[in-house]
Amino acid sequence: MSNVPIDKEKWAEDYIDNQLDAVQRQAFEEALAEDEALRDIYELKQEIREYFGSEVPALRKQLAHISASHFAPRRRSRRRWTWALAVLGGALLLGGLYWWRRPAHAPSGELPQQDTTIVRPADTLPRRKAPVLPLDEATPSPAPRQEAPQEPIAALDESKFVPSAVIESLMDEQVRAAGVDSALVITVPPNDFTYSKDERPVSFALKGDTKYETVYYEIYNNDDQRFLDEAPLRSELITLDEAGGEGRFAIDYATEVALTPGLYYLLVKESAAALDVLHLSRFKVQ
Amino acid sequence: MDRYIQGIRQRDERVLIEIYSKYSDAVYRRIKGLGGSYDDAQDAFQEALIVIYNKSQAGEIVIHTTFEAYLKKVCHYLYINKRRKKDESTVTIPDAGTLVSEALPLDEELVRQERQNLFEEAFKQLGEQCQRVLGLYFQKVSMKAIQAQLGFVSEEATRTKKYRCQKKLEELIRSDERFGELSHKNKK
Repeated sequence: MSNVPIDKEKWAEDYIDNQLDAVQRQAFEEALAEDEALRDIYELKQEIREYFGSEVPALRKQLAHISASHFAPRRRSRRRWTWALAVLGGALLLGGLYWWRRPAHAPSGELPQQDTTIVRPADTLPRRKAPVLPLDEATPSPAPRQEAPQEPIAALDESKFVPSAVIESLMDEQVRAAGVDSALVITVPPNDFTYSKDERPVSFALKGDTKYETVYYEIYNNDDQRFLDEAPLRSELITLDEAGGEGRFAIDYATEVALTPGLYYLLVKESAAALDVLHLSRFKVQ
Repeated sequence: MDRYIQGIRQRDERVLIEIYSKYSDAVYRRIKGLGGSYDDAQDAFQEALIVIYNKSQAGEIVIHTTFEAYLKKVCHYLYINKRRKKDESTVTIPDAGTLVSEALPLDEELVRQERQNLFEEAFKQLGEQCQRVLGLYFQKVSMKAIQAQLGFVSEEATRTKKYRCQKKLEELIRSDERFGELSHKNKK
């Protein structure tokens, strides 16, 4: 061992740089097999050399350059647009209401036909609720039933059935089919299930076992922004029971939720922070 | 082999731009949906392309789905991992294989990536001359040529400079608190 240089750093570097003769190289290789510290030094040097000698650093620079000009445009103004649309929507609604009300107060010679062909009395419209959030509907309410029937209104609102681009982008992968924990089965509803009018409030059930002690289920409608804001219509923490197996927890949960007609998504997640999506499916309510 | 994989492997500028133009928006929406920022999405996208590059170079890439789905899965995985680390949780995702499927899990690749990031960061902390010496050395330029190019007095002086620079680089890498953890994982 007297031939072993004290400076292992230098020794390893000379070996890599081919600065050792045949005998010295053999001595180094023998030492390498026995000396863990030397091996650590040598391996790091080799790794650094391989990395900086590869094309990856150049690729990083190239990608950083491309990214600066070709990555998706920033959408800082999205919320502002949302507000602008909301304000515009409000203005249109007010304008519409004014238009509906106008015949009642208009001079008798003006638009006489319209006055007589209005099906819904103009004075009921201001009392009509804004689109009710399903979460609100989940709580039984003694709200007066004499208001306009729901079906014609829902049938008109096709926008509630338009798939959410954001959630759909998650659907096309295995998250829905298996998720992180394939032992979790959502028995009701199956994916793409349609609840008929007679099946409201909708019911769903989670069965199986997972490795998680608690899970969240969440219901979203087709509103992209709501999903991006992580603001589900309904969210609930479910605590599971210990199952027989090692570290497994059983789930057998069923519930009912009143939802207005539209397209919805059911998510089951490991935690509220949306890290592991265990299940994701879509269903319609007619 | 997929045209995009081929393009990444060859660092084809046109293909890389096409990938950014076509898919970065979807990736941004995905990462945002997971609670990430614009910068998170940008980082994940870039890292994902490097992962794909590394895996294709190593002949480890097998895609049974579309390139877009695969890219989004890798970005998803990288972002979740980054977020977990931020939350001071574990680096690895035990069931990531199920989540991202295909030729994943990427745990090994991720450790490699993080070590490479560490190398890059340390390298940037070196002085300009050290960066130039090591840059040439790593490109396998001879000591004689480095001496001539950078104006050192002798080949030996160049070698000594290179040795000191590399030593400094390794010290910076080893002194980073991430290095210990990554070394441990690297040896698993």
